[in-house]
Formats: sequence, C-alpha cells, structure tokens
Amino acid sequence: MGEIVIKNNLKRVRRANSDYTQEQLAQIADCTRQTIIALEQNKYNPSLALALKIAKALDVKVEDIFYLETEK
Amino acid sequence: MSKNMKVNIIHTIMWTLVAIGLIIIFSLPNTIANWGDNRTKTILLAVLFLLGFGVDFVLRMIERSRQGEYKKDERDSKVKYDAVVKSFVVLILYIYILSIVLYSKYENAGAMPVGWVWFIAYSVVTAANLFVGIFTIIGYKKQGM
Repeated sequence: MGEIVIKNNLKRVRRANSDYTQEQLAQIADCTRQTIIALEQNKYNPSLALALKIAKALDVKVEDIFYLETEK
Repeated sequence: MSKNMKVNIIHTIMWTLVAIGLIIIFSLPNTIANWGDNRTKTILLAVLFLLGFGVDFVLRMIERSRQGEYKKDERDSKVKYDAVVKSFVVLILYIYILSIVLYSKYENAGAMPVGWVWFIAYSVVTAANLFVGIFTIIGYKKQGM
C-alpha cells in the first residue's frame, strides 16, 4: 500500500466559489500570499486552523478542498 | 522571490563572508600556535562577528518597521523550525568530527594549542548561523518561493 498524502484543489475551489485573488484570500485567512501559492501548488500542508479559515473564507467544507490520496 | 527569502539570502551571504574571513585568519601561518600573541587577529574576528550580527540586527529592524511587507505565517515558522532542527544535527556532527580530528592530531602531544579552542568557539557560532540560513533557503526553495 502506498503512502497516504494530503492533496487539495484549492485553486479550483477558490475560482469557482469566489472572486478572491490569492492575496485577498491570504488576507482573509490571515496568512501570506506565498502560503496560498504553496498550497495551490500542493507544496505545503496547512495546519488544521488554517485549513478551517480557508474553508470558511470560501464558504465550503474543509473536505471540499482537502482530501487524502494514496501515492503509489 | 519572497521578501523573507531575500532576508535569508542576505543573512546567509553575510555569514558566508564571516566564515571565509574566519578560515583565512586561522589559516595564516602560526595563528593557532601563537594565539596568545594575536591581539590583532582577535580584534579582526570580533569585527567579523560584529558585521555578521550587525547585519542580522539591521535586517530584523527592517522587518519590524515594515511588518506588512515582511508578514510571516505558519509556513514561515515551519520552514524556520525545520531549518533549525537540521542545522542542529549538522552542527553536532561538525563538533564531533572536529573534536575527533583535534584529538587524533594531539593525542600524543599531551596538550593542544589554545588557539584551537578559539577556533571551535568562533566556528561553531558561524556554522550555526550559516547552516540555519542555508537550510532555510532550501526549505523556501522546496516550496517554490
């Protein structure tokens, strides 16, 4: 069985559910634009607090953005 | 490139220069053997450290005065934390290897020139700052910053 990793589709959800730019979402979620970029490129896994803030900002559930994937 | 990354690059460049200066000073002939007569070199090393920590101080003041531009969040904290942990491991290895090499070199001599103690002191502080800077840059690079 492969390693289970956390992935996200933040970019798609951000564009589909809001008009926020990366900078605007970063300000609402109290993080930096670089963090939003890293998240959208799946290069960073956020803390639970940040994940909840982002989900709240986009008015979706956390699991609508973040999910588990098994890497082969 | 983020502003936090630029700050770390400046920090790393500065401490690289300090390390180069340190190596040059201690590589000069008879520096270690005649350390007690090296007042000038002691002052030079102090100046190097002043430059290194001075640049760090200036960078911190700039970050404080422009907090909006140099905003840090959990990701920056994680990168820094990972860098410090990795630097700690590398530093332990460096001290261990240096101690073993010096022991091997002076095992039969019965005494070791005191200049080596100064080298250990200065090099450990320099290495710590350098390694943290390098691993922080690597951490940011991995995330595309």
